[in-house]
Amino acid sequence: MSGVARRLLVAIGGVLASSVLVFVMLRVLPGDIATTRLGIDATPEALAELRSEYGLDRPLVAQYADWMGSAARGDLGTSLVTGDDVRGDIAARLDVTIPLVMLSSFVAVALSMWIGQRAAVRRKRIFGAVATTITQVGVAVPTFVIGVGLITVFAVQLRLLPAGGFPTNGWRQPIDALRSIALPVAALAATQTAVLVRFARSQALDFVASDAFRTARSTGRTVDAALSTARRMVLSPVLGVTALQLSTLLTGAVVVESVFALPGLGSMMVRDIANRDVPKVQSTLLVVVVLVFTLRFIVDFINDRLDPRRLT
Amino acid sequence: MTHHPTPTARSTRTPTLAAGALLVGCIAAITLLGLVWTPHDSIAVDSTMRFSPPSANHLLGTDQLGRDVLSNVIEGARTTLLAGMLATFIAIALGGILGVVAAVSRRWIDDVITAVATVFVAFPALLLALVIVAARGPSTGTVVITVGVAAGASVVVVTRRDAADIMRSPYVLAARFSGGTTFRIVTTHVLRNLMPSLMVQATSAASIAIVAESTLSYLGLGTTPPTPSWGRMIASTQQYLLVHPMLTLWPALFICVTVVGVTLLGDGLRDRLDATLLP
Repeated sequence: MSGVARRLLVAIGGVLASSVLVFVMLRVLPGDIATTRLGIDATPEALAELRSEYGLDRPLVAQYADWMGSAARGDLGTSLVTGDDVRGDIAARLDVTIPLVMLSSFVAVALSMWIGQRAAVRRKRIFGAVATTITQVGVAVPTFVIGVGLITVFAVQLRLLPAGGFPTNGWRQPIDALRSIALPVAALAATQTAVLVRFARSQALDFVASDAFRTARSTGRTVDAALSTARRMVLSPVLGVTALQLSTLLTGAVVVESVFALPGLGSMMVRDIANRDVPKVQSTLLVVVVLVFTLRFIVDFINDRLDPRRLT
Repeated sequence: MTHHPTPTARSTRTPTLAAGALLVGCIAAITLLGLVWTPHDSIAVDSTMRFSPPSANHLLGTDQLGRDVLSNVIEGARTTLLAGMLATFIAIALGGILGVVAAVSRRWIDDVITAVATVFVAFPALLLALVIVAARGPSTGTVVITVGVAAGASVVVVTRRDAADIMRSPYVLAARFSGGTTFRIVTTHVLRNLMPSLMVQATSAASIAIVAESTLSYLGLGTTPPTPSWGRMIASTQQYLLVHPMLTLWPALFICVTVVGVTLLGDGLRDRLDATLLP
C-alpha cells in the first residue's frame, strides 16, 4: 500500500476512534442532557418529550450512527442553548483558530530548529546552557500563565500589541488581525518550542558527532554551513513530533483563545462547556478531532517528502 | 532484587534534583502552614480595603474585593497540591496495576488493556477533562478523577513495558525455576523494581494534574468558589493587570514555582535513577 493511502487510513481510523471516545464520555458516563437542560424539578412528561426530540430514547448505537451520519452530510446539529445551527457557529470561528494553530506550529518548528542546532554546537557555552535550562523549565509552565505574562510585558508595560480581542472585520483588516494574533501565537508556540528543541538538539548533537560533520568541516565549511547540510535530518524528527503534538496544540488553542478573548473555536467551546451545551460541544470536538488528523496528515505528508526513508 | 549502592559522587552532580526538592518543599511547607494558620480569613471581603498595597497587615496587599492576597495564595497552594497528589495517586495506582496485569496476563488481556490505554494517551489530559466537565459540570473532584485516569493511561503503557522487561530478567527466571508463582514474583520482584520508574512517572503525572487544575480553574471550569485557587485568582484579577499587575502575578509566580519544582524533581530523579535502577 502506498504511504499516502496508509496515512489516510490511519487518519480515518483515528477520527472514528476519537469520535467513539467523545460520544461515550459525553453520552454514556454522566446523567443525561434532558435533566441538565430542564433541571431536577422537571416533570417526567417534559423530560420524555425533550429526550425524544433529541433522540435520546433511542439505542446508543443508533444515536452514534445518527450523529456521525448527519456530520458526514455536513449537519452538525443545533445548539441546546441558543438553537443556532452549530455548523454556522463553527465555520465563523475557524478563521481564527486555523491561522492561530498553523502559525504557532510554524513558529515553533522554525524557532526550535534554530535554537536546537545552536544549543547543540554551543553546548558548552552560555547559549547552550541557557537554552537547555529554559526549555527544560519552559515545558512545565502552563500556557495560560505564559499568556498572562506576555500580556503583562507586551500589552500592559510596553504597549506594543493589543491585550486581547480580534478586529470585527477579521482578516479584511490584515494588519490589525495579525497584531491581535501575535501574542496568542507566541503563547501557543512557547510550550511547543520547548518540547521540540529537545528533539532538534539531540538530533543535531548526533550529527555533530558524526563523520559526515567532520568531513563537511574538513572541506572548509564553517560550523553553520556544515550544520546546514544536515537540515533535513534534524527537521524530520522535529516534524514527526509536531504531528504527534497537534492534539496538545489544539488543546492549548482552547486555553489561549480564552486568555486573549479571541473569537475562535476554543473560546466558544469553553463557553459551551460552562453552559453544558452537550450536543454542541460534541460536534465541536468532532471538528477539532478532524482538524487534528487533517493537520497531522499534512505534516506527515510533507515529512515523507523530506525523508523518503519514512515511507519504507 | 538487585541493589546498587548510590554513588555519592553522582548525588552532588544532580543540582536539578536538589533545586526541585527545594521548590516543592517550600510549596509543601506553605500548604502545611495554611492548614493551621493564615494571616487573614481568605474569603473575608472588606470594601474599605480594596486594592491596598502591601503593608505589615497585608504582606502582599489586598485584591479587588479587599481580600488578603497572601491568605488566598496560601490556601490556593492547598487546593493545587491536594488535586495534584490525588490525581497522581489515581494515575499511579490505576496505571501501575493495569500495566503489571497487562505484562503478566494472557495475550488478549494485554492487547485489550494496551489498546484502550493507547486511545487515551492520544487525548491530552486537559482536553479529556474539558469533555468530562461539559458532561458533569465543574468541580475539583471531576478534574482530579479525569486527570488521574488520563495520566494513568501513559503510566499503563510505560509500566507494561518496564514490567515485561523485568519478567524477562534472569532473577525472575531463577525465581520461576525455584517454583515461584506469578503472584509471588510480581509482589517480590516486579513491584519493587518498578518503584524507581513509578516515582519518575508520578512527578510527570503530578505536573500534568497541577497544570490541568489551574488551567481549568482559570477557564472557570475547575475549582468552584469559594475554595481559593491560583487559576481562578488569575482569571478574576486579569482585568486589573494595567493598574494592579501584582494581583495576577503572585498566583502566576506560585504556579510557576510549583510546576517547575515538580518538573525539576522528576528530571533529577530520572537522571539519578537512569544509571542505577531503571530497568
